[in-house]
Amino acid sequence: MSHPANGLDDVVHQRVRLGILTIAHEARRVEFGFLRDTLDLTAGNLGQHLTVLEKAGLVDIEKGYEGKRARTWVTLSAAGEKALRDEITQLKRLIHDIERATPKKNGRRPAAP
Amino acid sequence: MTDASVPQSTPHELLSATRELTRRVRTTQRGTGFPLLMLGVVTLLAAPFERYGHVVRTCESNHPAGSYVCSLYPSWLFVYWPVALTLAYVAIAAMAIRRSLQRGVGTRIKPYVIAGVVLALALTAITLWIAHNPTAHQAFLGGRRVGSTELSTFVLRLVSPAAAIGLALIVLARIERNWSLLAFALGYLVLVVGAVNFGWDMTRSSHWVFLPHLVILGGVLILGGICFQVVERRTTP
Repeated sequence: MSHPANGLDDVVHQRVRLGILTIAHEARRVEFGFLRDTLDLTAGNLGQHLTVLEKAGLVDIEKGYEGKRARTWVTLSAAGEKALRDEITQLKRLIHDIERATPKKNGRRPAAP
Repeated sequence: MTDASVPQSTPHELLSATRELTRRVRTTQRGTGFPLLMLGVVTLLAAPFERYGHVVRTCESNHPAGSYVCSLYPSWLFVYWPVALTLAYVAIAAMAIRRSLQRGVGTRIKPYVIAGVVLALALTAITLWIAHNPTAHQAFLGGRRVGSTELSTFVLRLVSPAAAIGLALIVLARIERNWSLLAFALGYLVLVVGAVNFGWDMTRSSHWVFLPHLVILGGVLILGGICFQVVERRTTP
């Protein structure tokens, strides 16, 4: 069986991009400003992460106007849904493996060779 | 590269960050106050229709000896409730879409609005059928004639528009993952089905005998709406 770390997608396994995917999944449709404020990023930084996700086909970006105000809405694509689900599964597996491998505080440490 | 500025996180940190973000989005999406206020007003506005609505009296023979079973129901309520509830749910949907645009997050209101309208129409249809088929209704309850009044009243409360409001609120609590709203909806349904009037009674001969229960239900919805709105204002980022 392969190590769970091998199943991690480099595009998704990154704090900010995982955050974007999580918010887009929960919100269904999320506005650029909400993402920027919630993830505490600059507009430029967020824009770069969104470009990476869009190029990977994980999000769809829709630009429009609300009155005179420009608005950018982000939606999770089907591939994005799957990528997020896979990432969460792999993270849980990693945590499980780490916890199994780490001796308990009260348990005896293995004898030194 | 963008990643260079972001420190590496452990799987634990990444998972707890996703949980926190999920919680924040759900809190931002919540909008329970307005639906409760709207439905409370709709409930109170039913009073004149109940009091002055034309009463339908349907009687059917129920016994070989010639006894009759009669039902009385203010007919205007058959029009008022489905129309008022449908309009209320349309207003709730419009408000949710407006709030979604303002806050920058999508809304999950659609299943609630659909459930609300479907329940309102379905339960009105059942009440209409019961009002026009009193003996069939009794047969449905097991053919009991004597002592079945309480059971009939219970069934009528269970299919009332007030119950439709409560059942739809359970759907809203589910889609918003809102435990407080679920507790509120269940408490409200207990008031509906138990016809709780907190000792505020009117004589059976009064034309306003329905009023205490109606005011209590409307009042509870409005009060709940105000409380939820206050909490939402405090917790929404």
